[in-house]
Amino acid sequence: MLHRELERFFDDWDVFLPIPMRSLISRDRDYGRIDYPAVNIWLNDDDAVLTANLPGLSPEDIDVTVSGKSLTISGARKTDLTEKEDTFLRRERWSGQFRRVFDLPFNIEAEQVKAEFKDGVLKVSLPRAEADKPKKIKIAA
Amino acid sequence: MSNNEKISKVNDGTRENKTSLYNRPEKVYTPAVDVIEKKDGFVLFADMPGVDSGSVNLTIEKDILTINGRAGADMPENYKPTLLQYHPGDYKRSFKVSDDVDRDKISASVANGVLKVVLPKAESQKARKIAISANA
Repeated sequence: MLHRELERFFDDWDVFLPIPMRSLISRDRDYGRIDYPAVNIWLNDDDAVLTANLPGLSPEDIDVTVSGKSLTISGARKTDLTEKEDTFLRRERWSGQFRRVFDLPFNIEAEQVKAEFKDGVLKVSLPRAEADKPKKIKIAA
Repeated sequence: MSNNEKISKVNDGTRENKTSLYNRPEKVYTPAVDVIEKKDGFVLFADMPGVDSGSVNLTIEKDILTINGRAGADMPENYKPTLLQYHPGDYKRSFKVSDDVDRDKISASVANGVLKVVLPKAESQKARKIAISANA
């Protein structure tokens, strides 16, 4: 547990760096390890889609926040309720708190962000802010 | 199984395309499980994100219980994968079931990507409390 806390501390260390020095997408990508939850991110010119494996959680357990270019998913997974006389013969499933921050290459249109949760998979659609899209400049003759 | 694969490839090739987007063949994953022994039975929880009750199979052969599921990982079209930490594939894991489980009463359900299997102990194996009558 302490190990995870330490890792999480180092996860966010680069918030103190100037923006160009931060890693482009995921602040923890450089460490080459799989964090919880496992996440896939898909991009095109106009928006991004993030999916995250969060089995056993319900929508109320998950917080999704967006600010500028960054998206934060956080929450907690509780262990299943057990009675005093119950014994764990095997305990492999993860539980605890999680928080992951992702920086997209564009500003996010916060009002248009949609999040859905189905079968333990979170899916967040993140459209690019209108003001952020490239504009074609006409050249005056 | 292999027939179905061929048919889908001949039809539209979607499956092949989707697999190549992830740049690796589909895999078989071992789901993380919790097994809890309760007074009257065992409960097994398996993390299988992306599966619903229609895509999970439970079989028991002799004393081997096998759980099997398929996660249809969402692959949006017209996007470029930028960060991929999980991939589509099957979940599979087998367990040896002890004799004190009543095989006919095993039940299973799926909620929020977690499979729950309840394995009740056979009636004869349950610890019985014997009432002591006081004759006084």
